[in-house]
Amino acid sequence: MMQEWANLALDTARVRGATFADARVVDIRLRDLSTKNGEVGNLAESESLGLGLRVIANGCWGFASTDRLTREGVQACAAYAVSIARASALAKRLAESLHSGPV
Amino acid sequence: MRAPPHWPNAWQNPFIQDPFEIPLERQLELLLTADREMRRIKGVTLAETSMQFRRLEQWYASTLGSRIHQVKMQSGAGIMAMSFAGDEIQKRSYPSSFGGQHQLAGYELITSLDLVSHAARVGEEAVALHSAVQCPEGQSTIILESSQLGLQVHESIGHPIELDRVLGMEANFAGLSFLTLEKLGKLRYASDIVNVVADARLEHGPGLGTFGYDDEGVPAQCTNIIKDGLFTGYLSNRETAPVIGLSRGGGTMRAESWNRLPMIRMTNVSLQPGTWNYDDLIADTDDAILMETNRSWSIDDHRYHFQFSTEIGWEIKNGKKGRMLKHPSYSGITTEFWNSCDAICSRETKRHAAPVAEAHLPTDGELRGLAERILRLSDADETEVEIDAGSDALTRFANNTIHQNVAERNLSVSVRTVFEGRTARATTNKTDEAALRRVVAASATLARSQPKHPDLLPMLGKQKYARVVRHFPETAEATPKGRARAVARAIGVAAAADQTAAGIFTTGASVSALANSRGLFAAHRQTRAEFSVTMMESDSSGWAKANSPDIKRIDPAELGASASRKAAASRAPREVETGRWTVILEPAAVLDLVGFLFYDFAATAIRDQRSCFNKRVGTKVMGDNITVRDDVTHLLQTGAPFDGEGLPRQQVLLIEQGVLRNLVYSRASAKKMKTKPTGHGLPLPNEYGEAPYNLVFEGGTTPVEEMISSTERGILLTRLWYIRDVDPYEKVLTGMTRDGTFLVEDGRIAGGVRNFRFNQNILEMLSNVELLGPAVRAAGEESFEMVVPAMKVRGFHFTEVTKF
Repeated sequence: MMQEWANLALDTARVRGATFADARVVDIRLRDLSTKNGEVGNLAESESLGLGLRVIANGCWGFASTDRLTREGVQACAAYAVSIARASALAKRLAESLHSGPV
Repeated sequence: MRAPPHWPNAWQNPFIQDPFEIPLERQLELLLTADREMRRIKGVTLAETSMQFRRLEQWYASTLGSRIHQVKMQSGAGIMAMSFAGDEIQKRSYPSSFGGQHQLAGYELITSLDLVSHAARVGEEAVALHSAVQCPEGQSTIILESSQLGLQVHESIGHPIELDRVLGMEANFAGLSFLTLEKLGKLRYASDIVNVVADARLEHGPGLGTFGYDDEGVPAQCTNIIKDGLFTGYLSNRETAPVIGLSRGGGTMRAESWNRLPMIRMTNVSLQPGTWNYDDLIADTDDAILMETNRSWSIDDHRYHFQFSTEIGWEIKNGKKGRMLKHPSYSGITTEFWNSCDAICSRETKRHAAPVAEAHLPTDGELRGLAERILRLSDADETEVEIDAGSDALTRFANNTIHQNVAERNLSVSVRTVFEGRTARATTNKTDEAALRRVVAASATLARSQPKHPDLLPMLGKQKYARVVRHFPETAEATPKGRARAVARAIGVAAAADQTAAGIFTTGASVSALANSRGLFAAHRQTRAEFSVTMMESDSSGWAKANSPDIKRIDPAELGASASRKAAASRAPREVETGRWTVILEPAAVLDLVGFLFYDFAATAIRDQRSCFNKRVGTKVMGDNITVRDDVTHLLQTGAPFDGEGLPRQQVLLIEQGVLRNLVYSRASAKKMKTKPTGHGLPLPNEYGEAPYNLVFEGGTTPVEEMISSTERGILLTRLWYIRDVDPYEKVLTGMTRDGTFLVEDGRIAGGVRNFRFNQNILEMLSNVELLGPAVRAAGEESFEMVVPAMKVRGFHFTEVTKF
């Protein structure tokens, strides 16, 4: 399932005009315990799952992330990442030397 | 760049015991035993312990064809004892300070640390430090124990070799590096016995910088950083590697979580072991100071001038460990320090340098609905639900171009249950029915597995809150294009002045809600806009930053112009002498200093005897012209009008004309200290009690220009950097000046000066304030935003001047 979300993000970014994209789906589990002067200070468990997507479009980087792992959520995130990259191109200038080649 | 060759696509770090499979009761029992052992020592006034486990599973895919699945299991633990006596707070930690030691390992790491056996020694040393001799001043040979050495490597080698920093991409925040490109392969970084590698491979060990592949799919590598004293390598990524002539990325890109952009971060940057046996090294030393366990660290933004202090020191005389020394501290210059390295011990115990679419936020109705769904799933005596949702977007620029433009959204649901006086919290960002059941069950298991909480009060019922307006639609609706245009305007200012600009523009919106089974429901919605810019010339820089819930109050072009004027005016900085100076601190500089006081106002900090106001309540602690309130309703403040338990935040007069009048209280600390809570409690359970998050320093009427015209000889400060506590009771802070430091002579700015390191008692500073400007909402880097004025202060203590 997680692999499919990553693939969907890449496909959407490509369709939107990205020349490069990489996606990370990350699932984190955390446990945190602490004490102070003989009493329990903190005792917590947490989980966090989401997807982050980097793209290059118009020679600029874009990044967006989402915790909505649904078809719509992932596609919207990928489209947003590409539109962010295009917006970055508004202030490019020195960008060519660093960013224009493939990664 | 070509796609790396085909690689195996699964990686997991080895571990013996899954820490999540060990019952919580057993983990907690271990901590409570270590805690008890420390407090058995007479004179220990505060004992703290902690343990943390993190399992990260990641699926990585790229259009270059990579498909990588990685699992990383991380464990860590540490203990700390403090002793307050006379006018000193002393502290010892094990195995290292600030949360202990963490590795890519399972529960076997915790077992091997044997916290309980070290607890009594930690307590004894904290108490013994009161009667120890003050560490002497002067130039001396020092021996650093491995965890302090780890920090020394991390700060003075690990950070300066980050290539993004070298190339100016981090100039606005993390800073630059003295290791400019022409030094590669030429600079004698260290004496010829020093060899340093950056190694992410498993065979290097279980450090936090170990992995199979980095977060842009590049396999783990080992890079020589210093070879026989010569500087040979940087930490690079796919984007920056070509700049130093490499054909592939260095494999150092990492992101904290799915909602973070990967950046160059240290892998295991390690000093290679030498040949000395530790006991032989001591025996061979005539006269030196041995320093152990970091207490504070501060280094300038080029990573060149450092000052580190440790918890404890020992005299080494004629080959023997002698008297214990308190307040040990050392300072130096990175390359001079490493070139004076005489001996390195062999591997005893090896350690590593630690190293969308916008933006539908739930409505109040949706928040209420979600909270009610969760409350219905719980069979606890009492249940509390906290929901936080946010969407943030960030545009970063450097070298006059946008290089990061990112966005994230997240929603977190946190459930706290109470069973017969036991309470605990579990958190998730998944909101399907199964996940909600799981988080409620996790909270119940955690709660049931621990001792009764002695201070736990029944949850609050319905409350009434002050109305604050902190949500501005223009901010919530800001677009990447809008931010890029604003950034382009600031870059235009830089280009016109032949300067280089770096900075950030962030906008976002958030909502937080608190509900409980007694009928309490509170919700708060706010937006945030922040712009920060650094303008650079070859030998000078200027900086400006502003933050407001309302984007209309942020003017990027004007902030850019202000930073640009500072860079131009501080060109060709001259060196002036250290010593006691009259200084004019702009609001950002004031903020980053006084921000260090915020937790000292907490009643729990006083009870724990860790506050600088211990035994000083009701007395004069600052000058007559200083009055401080905590006031969430102030027009320039932000934040929710309720605290972590849902109690309304009240306005509290903390300092009245220099006298410490009141503290802030949570419900529990108020009950213990027989007074009324002030609505400053943190979410339960927690060990810190409460804190004032809305500090307002009363201002005066003197603009900065008049402070300058009234000054015969002084220094004007724009901002400060890397500030750390040197002495917690006298509240001595150290740090550096940065991005706009000027000499004032005969009532005028006479030009830029080289940056200083300061060591300054902050209560003394607030007793020496001669003039106050109007209070403004100030934004810095060391502290969250507060309302503070500019200040003119006499006798401010500069202790060192930089070489650039």
